[in-house]
Amino acid sequence: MRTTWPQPDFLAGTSRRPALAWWCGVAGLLVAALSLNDWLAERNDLDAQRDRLVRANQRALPASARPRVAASGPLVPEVDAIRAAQRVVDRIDHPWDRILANVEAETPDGLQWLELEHGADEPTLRLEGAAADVRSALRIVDNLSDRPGWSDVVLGRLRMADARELAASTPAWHFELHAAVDARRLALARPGGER
Amino acid sequence: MSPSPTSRADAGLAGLRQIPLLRKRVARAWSGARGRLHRHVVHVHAKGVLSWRVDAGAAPADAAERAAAYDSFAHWCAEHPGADARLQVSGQLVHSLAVDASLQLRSPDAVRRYAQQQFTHYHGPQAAAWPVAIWAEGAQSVACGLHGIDLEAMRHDAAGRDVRLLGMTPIWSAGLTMLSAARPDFAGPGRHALLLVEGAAATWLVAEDGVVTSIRQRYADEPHVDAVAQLLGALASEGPPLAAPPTVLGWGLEAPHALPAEIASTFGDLSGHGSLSDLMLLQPRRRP
Repeated sequence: MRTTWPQPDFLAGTSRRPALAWWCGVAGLLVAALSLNDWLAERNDLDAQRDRLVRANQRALPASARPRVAASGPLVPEVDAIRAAQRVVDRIDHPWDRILANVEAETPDGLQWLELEHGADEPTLRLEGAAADVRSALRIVDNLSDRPGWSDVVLGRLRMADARELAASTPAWHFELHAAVDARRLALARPGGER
Repeated sequence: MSPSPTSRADAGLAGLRQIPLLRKRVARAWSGARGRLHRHVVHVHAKGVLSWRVDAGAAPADAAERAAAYDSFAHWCAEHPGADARLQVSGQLVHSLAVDASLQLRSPDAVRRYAQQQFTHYHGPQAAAWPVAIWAEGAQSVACGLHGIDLEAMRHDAAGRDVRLLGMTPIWSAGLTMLSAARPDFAGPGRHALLLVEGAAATWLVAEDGVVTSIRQRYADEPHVDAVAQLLGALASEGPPLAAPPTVLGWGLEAPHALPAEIASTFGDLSGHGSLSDLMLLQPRRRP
């Protein structure tokens, strides 16, 4: 037996639309909530990483240390001071003893040294002396050229002694010697005047 | 393609305009949750609407007294913003068609196309635009065409006042339900008929073995019980004999005397609108 009579509805098929809209709204809210949750989690993670970085920096830099950023300002004057101090050290360490020992070792008999001109800041060296003959003067040029640390050893001037100098009983030939001295190589060379 | 800034702005403005509507709906949902939701049954006829407010605790007699008349559905919506409404359409605004089971129209779309074809054939080209309601269950299919009122305009009026439309069915559907509830034999074996009278307009429904096989819209000469008796005589001669005299249910008739019992069985009072109130306040049965 039939229990339900026809109930044709002119609105059938439209009543589902609001329900669909509500479901869409609920789904949208769910997505928004999940996105918000993700965003908050990312933000917390970022904050935690930032805190860890700050703590790591604090551990790496002592409290009294000057911040690295501040050091970038007066860097050039500091470098200049370091270079000046290094120059002082270099002057102190200048191998004067090696230079004099080399010259003394190569000095033949009868040769007199009259003047030595050299500075620790410059590699140039000038020697003025008097020899009994020209060959002695040339030999010392050759011998100094063969020594480590000596270069560009040349005979700059050669002349006969005048009457006054001869009266002072100095050798007959006066000469001037120019050379370039490498203090670093001289310092590294073995002591004793080995060639 | 990404939306232009203008279209996004328009969408945003549209969303802002939806806020009052959303607030109304939230308020209505809240009211409904607290049991204060106002539901109405609205009888839509050719000259306006009649409405009854349905409250959970109200007795039907009290509800019948609160029936209110409005000259249009738009006016009713204006007076009941945010309400829920179930609409029952007068037979004057509906043409109905019981589809012959022998046609074997399986799908609702096939029933709809057949119904629109029939409506257009009998009522002219304008019937092609009628809203059509379909009921198809088992071997029985029924189609209804709505004419004389603008369904889209009614929807627009309802949406504008946040009125929720719960359903819109022809009133003969409620008549069949009420009759078979009071007289189960109507749905039993044999051929039975119901004449639902709305003044001079009448809907003639024939059920065979509990299945509606014919629905016709007829008119009496005048809204008088004698004219209805005359109409019944004409209808009785149009088909095979009935298992029992037809049942007459209706309102708005001039009825100085009852219908002869050998012609018809009268269900309720034909004069006044008491039967209409009973029909409207019948609780709608959910579809299985």
